[in-house]
Amino acid sequence: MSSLQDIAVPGITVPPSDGLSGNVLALLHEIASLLTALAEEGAPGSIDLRGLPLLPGEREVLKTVLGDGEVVAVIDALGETRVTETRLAGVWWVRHADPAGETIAEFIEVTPCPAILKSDPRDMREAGVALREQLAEWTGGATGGDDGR
Amino acid sequence: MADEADLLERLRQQGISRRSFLKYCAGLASLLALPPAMAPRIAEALERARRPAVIWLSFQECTACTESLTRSFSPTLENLIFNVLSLDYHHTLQAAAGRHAEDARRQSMEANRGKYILVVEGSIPVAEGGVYSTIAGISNLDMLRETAAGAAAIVSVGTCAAYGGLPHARPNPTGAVPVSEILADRTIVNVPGCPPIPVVISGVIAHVLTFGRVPELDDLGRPTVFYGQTIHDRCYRRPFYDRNLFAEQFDDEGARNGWCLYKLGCKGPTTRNACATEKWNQGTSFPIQSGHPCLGCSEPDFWDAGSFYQALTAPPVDVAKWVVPAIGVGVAAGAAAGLANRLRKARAERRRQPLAADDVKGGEG
Repeated sequence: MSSLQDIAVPGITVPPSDGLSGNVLALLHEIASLLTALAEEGAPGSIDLRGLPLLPGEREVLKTVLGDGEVVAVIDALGETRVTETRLAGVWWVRHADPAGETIAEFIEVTPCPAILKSDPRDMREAGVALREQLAEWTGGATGGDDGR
Repeated sequence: MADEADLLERLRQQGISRRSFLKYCAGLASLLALPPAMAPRIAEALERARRPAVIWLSFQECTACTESLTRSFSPTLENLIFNVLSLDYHHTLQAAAGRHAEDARRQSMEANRGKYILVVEGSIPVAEGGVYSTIAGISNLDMLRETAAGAAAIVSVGTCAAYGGLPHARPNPTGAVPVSEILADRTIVNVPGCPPIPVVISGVIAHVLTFGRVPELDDLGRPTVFYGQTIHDRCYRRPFYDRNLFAEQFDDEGARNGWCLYKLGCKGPTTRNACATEKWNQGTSFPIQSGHPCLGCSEPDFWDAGSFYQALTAPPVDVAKWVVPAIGVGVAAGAAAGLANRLRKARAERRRQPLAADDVKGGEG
C-alpha cells in the first residue's frame, strides 16, 4: 500500500502549444516567490489581477495552467464570490462578483485559507447570543449554558 | 442630515452582512491600488466612519457626472458608499425646491461646519458678474464661495469642475472657470472625466472616509491612485504599439485585428485616467476596446486641442495657410479670431507633451 509520501503533488497543467506569453510567465514566477515566502516565513501574499493589463486570453491561459484543485467554495454575499484552490496547494483564485455578475475584484491569494472564508469572531458571538435567546423563548427561559459573552 | 450611526451598522440595517462588507472592502483595496491584505483594515476604518454630510453643487454641467454615479448597477461599491452618505443637497436628487432647498443647504452647512464634503459638478461662469448661471437668485460664484468656507474636503467631479470643460472651450462666452481658480487657497481634489468613472468618484469619497484625508494628488490635483498612469500605459493594445502595428483607418486590417489606434488620433498616451482598467458598463468595455480612439476627455482643454482623429505626432498647422485665404475673401476679423484660436490650440497641444515620431517607430519587434 502506498504511503502519503508516495502520492504525487498535483502539478500545473502543460502550457498551450503556442507557449506562454511574457505576462503569464511573469505571474507564474511571482506566484513561485509568494509560495516560497508562505512556506518558509508563513507570510501570505496576493496578486491583484484586476489592475493588470493582460491581453485578451491571458487570464484564461493562466487559469488553465494553474488548474483546479480540491476545494471550491461559493459565497453568496451581495453577489457570488468563488474561491477556488488551484492545483498548487496554498494558491487560491478568488473572484468577487456583484449581483449582476460583474467582477469587482479578482485575486490570486497565496495563503493557507483566504480571509473571506473565515467567520468573523463578532458574528460568531452574536450568533451564539441569538441562538440562546431563541432557545430561551422555546424552552421558557432555561438555556443551559453561559450567556455567550 | 448626518447622524451618529456608524457605517457598518447602517449597512447591517440594510441587510448587508459583515462578510459582504469585507468583500466590498477587498474591491475597494483593489480600486485604491492597496494590497489586498489591507481589506480588513479598510473595513475596520470604514465601519467606524460616521455618516458624513455631502453637499453637491451643480453648476454649468450636463448632469452626466451624477448620472455616471447613480446609474451604476446596484448594489455596487459606488452606491454602497453613496447610500450611506447624508446627501443633504443635490439639485437632481433632492425633493425640495426653491427656498426650501437653499434652507436645507444652509442648515446642513451650519450643523456640519468644518465636517462636510463639498462636491462640485460643472464649471463656474464669472463673466458679467456671474449672471450666466444662478440658482435661487444666487450666482454659482457666490454659492461656491459660501459653501466652500465650511467644507472639510472639496471634490471637483468631472472635467468641467476640474478644468472648465466644455463651457470653458473657446470662445467661452460665459467666462467659465474651474473650481480651483475660484478657491485658489484650498486643496481641491480633481476627478476629471467626461464623465468620470463612477467607481473613481466613490473611491475618492471612500478614501476620505477610510483615511480621514484626501488621497495623494498630482500637480493637476488628481488622485494619483486613479490618474497616476496614462490610458496608454494600461491599454491592452499597448503590445501592438510596441510592435509598430497600427490601425490607420476604421475599416482596415489593423482595425479588424484590434491593433493600436494611435494613428487614428488616440490620445491615450497623454491622457491620465483609469478607463483601461476600470472600464464602463459593468466592466464591459472602454472606448479603445470598442474600436474608437481615446478623446482625452479627462485632460485640460481637450475640446480645444485639435481634431479627435488627428494623431498626436501630426505636423503642426501652417498658420499662413489659414490666414491668407481668409483675408482673400474679406474676412480679416475672422482670420484674426482663427489665428487666435489656432494659437490657443497649439498651446493646448503643447500641454499634452506629444511623443516624437521616433517614439512611435521604436521598439519594432
